[in-house]
Amino acid sequence: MVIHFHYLTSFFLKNMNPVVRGLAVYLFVFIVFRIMGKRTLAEITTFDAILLLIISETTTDALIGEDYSLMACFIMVCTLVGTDYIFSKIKEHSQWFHIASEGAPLVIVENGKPLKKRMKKSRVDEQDVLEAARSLHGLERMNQVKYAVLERDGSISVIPETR
Amino acid sequence: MTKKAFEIVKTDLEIQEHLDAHKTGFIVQKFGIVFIIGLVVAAALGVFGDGILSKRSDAKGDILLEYERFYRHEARMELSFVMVNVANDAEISFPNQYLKDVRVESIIPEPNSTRIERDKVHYSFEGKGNMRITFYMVPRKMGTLNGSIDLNGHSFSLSHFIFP
Repeated sequence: MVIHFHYLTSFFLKNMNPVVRGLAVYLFVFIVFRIMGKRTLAEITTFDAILLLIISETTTDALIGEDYSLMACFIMVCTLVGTDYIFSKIKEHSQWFHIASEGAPLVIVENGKPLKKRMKKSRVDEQDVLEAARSLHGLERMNQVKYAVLERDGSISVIPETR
Repeated sequence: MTKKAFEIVKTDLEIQEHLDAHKTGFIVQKFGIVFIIGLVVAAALGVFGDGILSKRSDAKGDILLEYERFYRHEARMELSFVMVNVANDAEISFPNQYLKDVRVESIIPEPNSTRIERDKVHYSFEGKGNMRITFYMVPRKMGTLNGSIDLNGHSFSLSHFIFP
């Protein structure tokens, strides 16, 4: 059994099977973007867009290596989509995994008062909240915001103060 | 981080904040960012090849061998022999086992002849005086890779660690 396990691991690692490559890149990108926080790609500037292009180009090379065959492409697409499907299924069944992988919403403004500690930890400033308030509801001042919530996808939703 | 680090909010919003998860998440993020910075610094120093921590050299007589201690799978690395005042032609011999795990992409200058003998591949170079021979090689195996290379009677032992 030990020999079989050793044979299998050495086979997969030695030849760097496309499925192993796909899984490794998927997990690495997933962890890095989770570490960088939900605001990382919430608002994409021109530079962020270029950075994303560079990242995708770099990961493409690591994913396919020197194997340009059609079959390798199929395997890679199926590996990535399949892994994503499995992750979504795990999220459905495990709330812990859902929160760990996607985070949870966080109130950052309450009755016009910015919750500084929450905002600082989430790397959101008042200007981000005001920008969301202006663009979503045409609000002018912070005291017109009843609640602002940093959502799981990194966007800020604003609930205006009712008059 | 203590529980006091976060403001306690009582809202009429139907929202599940999971504050404990946020607190844990922020701690994990901190460690994660330290890890990412550490990885970048380590890479810049050559822990994964192409840096001061990766370069190794071994001198025997008038021959200097320069190689990479750490490198990456399927990436091209250099292995150079520098010889001073060589009186005769140079012959470099690689064990077959080493060449099984490493693919020789190119050799500069090109060898005069190549032959296989007693489980070794022998490359012969014509020339006299100062010489620099560089092998461009691609590791095909991950993990530890050892080999003993002979050059004009001198034996050089080298060891690489190949990252995925």
